[in-house]
Amino acid sequence: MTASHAPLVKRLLLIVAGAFAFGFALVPLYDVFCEATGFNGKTSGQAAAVPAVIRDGFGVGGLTAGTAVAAPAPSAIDRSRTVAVEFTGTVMPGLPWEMRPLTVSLDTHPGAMQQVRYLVRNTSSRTITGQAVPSVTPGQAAQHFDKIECFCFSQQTLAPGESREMPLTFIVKPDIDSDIRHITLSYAFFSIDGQRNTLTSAPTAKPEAKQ
Amino acid sequence: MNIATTTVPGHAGEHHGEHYPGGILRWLTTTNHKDIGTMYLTFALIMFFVGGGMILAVRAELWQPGLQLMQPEFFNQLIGIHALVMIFAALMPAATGFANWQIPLMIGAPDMALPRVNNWGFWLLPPAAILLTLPFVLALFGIGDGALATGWTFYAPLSVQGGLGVDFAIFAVHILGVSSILGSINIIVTIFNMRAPGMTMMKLPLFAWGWLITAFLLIATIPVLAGAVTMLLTDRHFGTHFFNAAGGGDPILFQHLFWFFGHPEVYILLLPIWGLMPHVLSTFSRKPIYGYKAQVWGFIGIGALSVVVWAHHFFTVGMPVPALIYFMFSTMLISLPLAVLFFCWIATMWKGAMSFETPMLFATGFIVLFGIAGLTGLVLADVAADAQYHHSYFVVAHFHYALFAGGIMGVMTGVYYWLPKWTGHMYSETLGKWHFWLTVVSFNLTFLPQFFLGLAGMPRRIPDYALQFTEFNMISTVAAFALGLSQLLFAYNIWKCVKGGPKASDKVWEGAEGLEWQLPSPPPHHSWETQPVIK
Amino acid sequence: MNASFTDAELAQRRAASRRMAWLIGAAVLALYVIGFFFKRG
Repeated sequence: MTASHAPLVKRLLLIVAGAFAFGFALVPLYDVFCEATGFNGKTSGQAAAVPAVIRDGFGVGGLTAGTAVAAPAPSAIDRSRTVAVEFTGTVMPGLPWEMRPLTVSLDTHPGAMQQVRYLVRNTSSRTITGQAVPSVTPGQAAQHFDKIECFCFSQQTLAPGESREMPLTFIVKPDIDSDIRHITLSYAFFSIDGQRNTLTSAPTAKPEAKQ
Repeated sequence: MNIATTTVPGHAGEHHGEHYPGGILRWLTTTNHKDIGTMYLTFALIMFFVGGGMILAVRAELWQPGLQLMQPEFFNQLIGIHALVMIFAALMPAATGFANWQIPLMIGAPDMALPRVNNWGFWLLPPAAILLTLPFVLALFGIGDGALATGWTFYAPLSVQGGLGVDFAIFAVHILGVSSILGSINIIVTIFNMRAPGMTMMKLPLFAWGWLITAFLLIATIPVLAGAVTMLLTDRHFGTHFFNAAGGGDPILFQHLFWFFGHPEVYILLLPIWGLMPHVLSTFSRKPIYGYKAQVWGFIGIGALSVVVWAHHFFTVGMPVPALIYFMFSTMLISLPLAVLFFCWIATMWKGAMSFETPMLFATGFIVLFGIAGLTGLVLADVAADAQYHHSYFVVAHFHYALFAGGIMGVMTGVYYWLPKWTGHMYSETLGKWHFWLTVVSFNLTFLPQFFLGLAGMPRRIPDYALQFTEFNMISTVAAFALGLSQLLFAYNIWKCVKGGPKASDKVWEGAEGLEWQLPSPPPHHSWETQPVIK
Repeated sequence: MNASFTDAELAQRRAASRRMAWLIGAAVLALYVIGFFFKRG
């Protein structure tokens, strides 16, 4: 009785195992998909000439290493178009820092290089290392937004009470779709040292999260 | 499709016939499909009241604006656990209970193919339900800060940052997933290998067909959900960064993984009901089922389409326009096979000599209300319209028309239809009719106002709201309590029917067709030991 | 409960269900047609 069911059961279990593996396979597949399409605001670094490979802090699941970021493209500045770029930032829970952009927004021409700074301050009494993760909205603009210098390329360490102006240099590439006239660049600053700590202890640290 | 043997010698002799362990041991160790079906259905009924109690607390809080009864954290926990309990611990076990009781009877098999696996499939459920709700109790003793507070969808990054309730829910989902997979494998093997001689796949009862598609959807998508919550678990505790943006992960990835499971889940819940409906409609219209083949292909078409439309649950997250268009049209495409089913149901009734016993009342009520669910679903599938309706009460109303009127009322149809067969007694028709009318009226009064609230802009999952929404919320709250109380009639009617009542005939319903009605009511503990031959 | 009906009763139920179906159909059609006369303000 049971023996005659075994082949079918085995095949069905194989489907289960395949589906489980497929779930995990979606992680790198999704990453490739996003890099290729700019889906979800991922800035990619399609480098024409790569002077140096800089870690961008990107890659889902820690599976991909850093992406290369291009040197300033030698393309001409397109003065016929103007793109407004807005800057914003958030400090994630568990990191006692403050951040704000010193330039809230600016108008630029595609192809022109711009530099802005963020002011970041450690409000705690200990030395903390953080990592900023960028995101560009709308997603379609992400592929055409090249960061040449960015504090998000490396981890930042701030001493107790220290504040620092962190620079960002970027180009909006001229091949950007002409319908895009407005881009928002957002940073989320995460704590690196106490990361596991903060994730599991954050809820208890909440001021009286009672029912 | 091989049929193993015509006569199955009382398989697995150790649990055969006369010497059962008595009392609780009987239920713990049983491998009989009827016992296990009964346990699934009882468990589902209990959890239906547990989940219902939670949402009544939520409706009480929403009686008027402002926070009266509870803090937002607790409110969030209630809505999320309500959904998980209703989906995984009430609707799915009820459908599995139907499958256990009915599929062997309907296809002429002596039992399920894998009886021990069947026992495990059920007994995994109570621990999972306890895991899901335990954090509420632990919080009372100051351990943790309560249950999962992210809503049932576990969206990252909230779920990555949440308290220990998230971990409990992750493990509960793992266990529930294993249980569903075991149940599904069992059902597929039973249907493929144990049909009565002569019952080809195209003579298979539609209920079995509906469940077959559900079972395949389950084994294809539950593992993806299991994978997603496993990634969530390792993100939370083992330093991976699948969804944790701090390490380069992506929270949106979680939404893709979740809804790759989540959308087929809707059809997993509904396909057994769609399979059951034609039997009921045919019985009480005293006509054969209309369009059997069309319905089978409808099931297959819906099953196949359901795995390629998931992103319509988060149109507003930001997607390239071609992706939006693809997901919009593929979603709308599902309405074609679904319309085929609707027209087959109506054509089955057309010119029939209809009588309206309780199961038929529920079946016709189901068609009308589930139709509303389908039409409002089309509105939400429209990318342009969804930008306004997303995450509003319109969505809440829509999926309650789908899952309460389509799912729970479908289960009630099945219970009233088959209960006399299972117990050998007739239930009280008077109570049944009262139950139907109270349910239908209070259900509509609860959820119709929520469509208007959603159109007016009230967001879902919010314990407090703007003043202008008060009146509709009050109607909804009062009706929700009426709806909850009406279900006590249902439980009482079942209880009375199990205990006794007028004797039911073997055929029970004058117009009933199918193998299960050839057996005595109630069927003996071991039925179809000699398989019937289908001509 | 499920009383068995005589042939005459069954025939009468068939006729009634058919009348009901046409009635519902007409009502739905009427609603559809009435919809054309509504203008959004």
